[in-house]
Amino acid sequence: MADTTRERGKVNVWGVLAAIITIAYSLPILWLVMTSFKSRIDIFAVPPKFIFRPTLTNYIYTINRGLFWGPLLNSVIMSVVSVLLAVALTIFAAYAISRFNVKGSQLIMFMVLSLRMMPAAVVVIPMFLLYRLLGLVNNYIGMILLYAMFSIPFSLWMLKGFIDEVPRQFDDAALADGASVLQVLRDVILPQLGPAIATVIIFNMIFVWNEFLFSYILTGVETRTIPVQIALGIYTDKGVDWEYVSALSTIYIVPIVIAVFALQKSLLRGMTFGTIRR
Amino acid sequence: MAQVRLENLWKVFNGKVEAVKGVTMTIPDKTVVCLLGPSGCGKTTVMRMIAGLETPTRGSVYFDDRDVTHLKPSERNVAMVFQFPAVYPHLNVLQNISFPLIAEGLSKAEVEQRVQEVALVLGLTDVLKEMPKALDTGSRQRVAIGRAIVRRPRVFIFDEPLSNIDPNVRVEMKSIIKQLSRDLGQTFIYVTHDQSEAMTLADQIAVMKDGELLQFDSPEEVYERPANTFVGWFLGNPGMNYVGAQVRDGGAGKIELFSDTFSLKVDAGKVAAGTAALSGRKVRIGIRPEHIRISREEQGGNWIKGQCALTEPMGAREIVHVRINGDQIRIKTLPTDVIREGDEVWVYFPEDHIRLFDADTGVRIGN
Amino acid sequence: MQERMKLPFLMPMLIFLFVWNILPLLWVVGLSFYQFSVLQGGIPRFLGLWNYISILEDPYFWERFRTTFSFVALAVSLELVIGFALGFLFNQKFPGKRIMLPIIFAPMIIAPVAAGVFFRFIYDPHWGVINYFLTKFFNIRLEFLEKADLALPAVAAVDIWMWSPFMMLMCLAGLQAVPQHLLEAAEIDRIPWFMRFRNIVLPHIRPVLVLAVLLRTIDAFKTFDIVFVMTGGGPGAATEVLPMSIYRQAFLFFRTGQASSLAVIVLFIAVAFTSIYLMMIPKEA
Ligand SMILES: Nc1ncnc2c1ncn2[C@@H]1O[C@H](COP(=O)(O)OP(=O)(O)O)[C@@H](O)[C@H]1O
Ligand SMILES: [Mg+2]
Repeated sequence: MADTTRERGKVNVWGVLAAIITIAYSLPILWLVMTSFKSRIDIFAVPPKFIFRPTLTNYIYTINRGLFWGPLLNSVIMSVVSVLLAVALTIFAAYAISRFNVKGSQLIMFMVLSLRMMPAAVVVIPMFLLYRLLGLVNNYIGMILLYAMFSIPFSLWMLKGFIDEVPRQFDDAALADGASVLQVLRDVILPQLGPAIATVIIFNMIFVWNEFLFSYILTGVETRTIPVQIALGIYTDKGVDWEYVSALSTIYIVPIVIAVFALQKSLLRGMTFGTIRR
Repeated sequence: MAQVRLENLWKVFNGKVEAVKGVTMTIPDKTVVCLLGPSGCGKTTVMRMIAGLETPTRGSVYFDDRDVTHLKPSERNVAMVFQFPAVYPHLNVLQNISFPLIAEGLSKAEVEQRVQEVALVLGLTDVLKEMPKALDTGSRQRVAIGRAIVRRPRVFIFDEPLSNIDPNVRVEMKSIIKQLSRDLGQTFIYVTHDQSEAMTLADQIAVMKDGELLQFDSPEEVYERPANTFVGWFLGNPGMNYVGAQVRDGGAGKIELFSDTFSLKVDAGKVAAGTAALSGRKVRIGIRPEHIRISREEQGGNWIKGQCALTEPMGAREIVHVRINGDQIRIKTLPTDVIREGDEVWVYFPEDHIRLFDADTGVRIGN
Repeated sequence: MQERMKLPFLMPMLIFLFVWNILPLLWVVGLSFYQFSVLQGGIPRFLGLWNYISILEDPYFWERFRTTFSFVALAVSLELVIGFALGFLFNQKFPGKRIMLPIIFAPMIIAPVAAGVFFRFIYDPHWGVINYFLTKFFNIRLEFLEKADLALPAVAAVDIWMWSPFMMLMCLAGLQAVPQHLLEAAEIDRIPWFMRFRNIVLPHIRPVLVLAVLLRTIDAFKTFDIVFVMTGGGPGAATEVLPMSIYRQAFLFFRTGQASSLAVIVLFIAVAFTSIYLMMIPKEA
């Protein structure tokens, strides 16, 4: 454990082991991507083909099968708009909780954390009734508001943490110069929060992008998102449509894989939300 | 029981930071050696290579005649006390000290007896049941020392154990460590950047600078005959003074050290024995503050005229700063001599204490 | 002046939280006391605790609790073991870590739906890769998702694949909190690795691990998407974990009232775990 640099010249056993495990770990995803580039015959070949002639037929087929651009666009719109809305709302709240003397701020933070722990299935019934009552089923506004809510706990927790890290002297100096609280927030806090806000936005978008249950219960054909389309589109009259599923899933995880690499530095903080105090 | 031999030891970090540059030395068995040098000169790195925590980039470490360069720390049987007390935070003092013994599989009675002995020596008997969190840094360092000595290893390494300790506790701990180093009767390497600590503890002193070993000798030798101007300046408080001069033959077995404002005739045999052809060389005259005599009255002979730049009290003594021909020297005197800033003064360098150094390289010439 | 801004800053979010969260929660608690079906509509009939009693008396639901707890126990314990091993491995020094880590972390943020669908393909008894190798080397063919005793572990495996990296992340965070100089001191003190681990490493990472296990327990307890796309709760009810059960009762059998009381029970369990979790989390300074 404390061995420092003694393995000079020797093959690093740990490194080799880690590389093997990394490859093994990524096999399901690799297999998915490979499958999406296989012809139908290759997909169902026995023994499975590890080397094959790649083809784009599955993608062309997927785009043309129907319900491709719609769900894709819906997923994009909903994750972007709802997250921006949530972050806009929570920046103010996070600032207030971080800087003002808010009675019950502990309660708010704990409540927010508890909401993150709540099984979606618990609230899906009343949500359905509420949305039916308000006429928000299969409705963009309804879905966007729902997902904005969905993003609030994480955003508030993270943003408060980040604002706590901005020294108070910055605010005080600006306030002493006669700036209003809004100006302080806009000119002093926000510029310092750039990367933090980007992190919060990306994480939330991933969560919304991946959400399934509410979308499944509350959307219709017009507002359906990709996860629902994957889950529903798997079956056709000719059985399970693997060409479609593999291509659609691949397209679907591309933004996420990009996000992992983009988030490398903040991944720890984002994924361990509410566990490790920083 | 081990002699520690370092052979042309190099350590380069990240391919560019040369922390240790070709250190070669032999630390005899059962001696107390102090490694002395300014911060960042590579002392810790050398110690970590001896302990096995760092692998040398080049060179070898021998314990007696065994090459241990590539052995793990645990295979070397050394003990090390770090600059920041390394105490296991989730074990109490007793468990901390007995941890290595239990790991060795000693009997309960033996462990108990050894731990009690060590605790007594270090004054830890009353806090054996405390957790480290409850202790101050000084006590924590004593726990770390206890854990090091309880094992009775072949080589002890203490890496600046007192540098992060409260000054008033430091004095007491210094004497404990001095006592320990004698009682243990083992090879004991003590790292410090504090020369007075080194002078009181060491059988031998090694002085390092910028990753290089400058001198390795007895404290008296290092103090009296520093290998170069840096060693002279670094040891002593204040360090050795230097005055620039040139050399020419003074006739009758004498050499003359002169500059624009003074001329000293000194016995060649005493000052520069065994060195021929000093004539014409540029040198720096080195002399320790406590060896210089000072007077307000004009004096003849080898007395040099200067001007008092500053006086400052130092304990029972007084330090007088004197400017001589562009160099400034410090003189340690009794405060009875009433000398003020701006006064003209005369100073005398006793022949026996004059050392000469090459003006360019700083290396000592002659004896 | 700050006092004036407090409400405008906080209110929008609080209203939002109320309408989209507290209100539905109150609603579901209310519904749980009534007989009601979304399908039929009409006026709900007050039943008091009847829904709860009928659930707690029905062995079918007890079976659902057992299924859920087996799923959670299996998934979380293996995630802990695998995550710890991965964390230990990736705490070593070796080149290429910066490329490997994101690849290992990727499953965590992939949609459970996509992961579930895809494992169905891998599990397929006829052309799935796993069965190909099983047939080739052991001459057996396993219908993972069609056999009652295999389906739950097979679904849990997906959760394990997705979330072991999370445990690994937490272990890494914990391991990195172990001061290097203590490990060096222990190495010099010739402490054997298991004593080093037990007395130095473990105490440092234990708090983080406890939190991680609790958080994963809470999350595994919520699992719905994977089950939905992989088995729909079947075969029979072999993988019908509680969220799935709520869904089935509410949206397949349209027993809205009864589903609501099941939801409230689940809510209580989640709240209990969350309270334990909140007690463990280090308090705000
Ligand atoms: N792990 C390391 N990586 C890079 N540089 C180091 C490392 N350890 C020490 N150094 C550098 O090596 C030099 C010597 O350091 P050190 O041995 O700690 O000095 P000392 O103990 O004499 O103060 C310093 O310049 C230090 O910055
Ligand atoms: Mg050091």
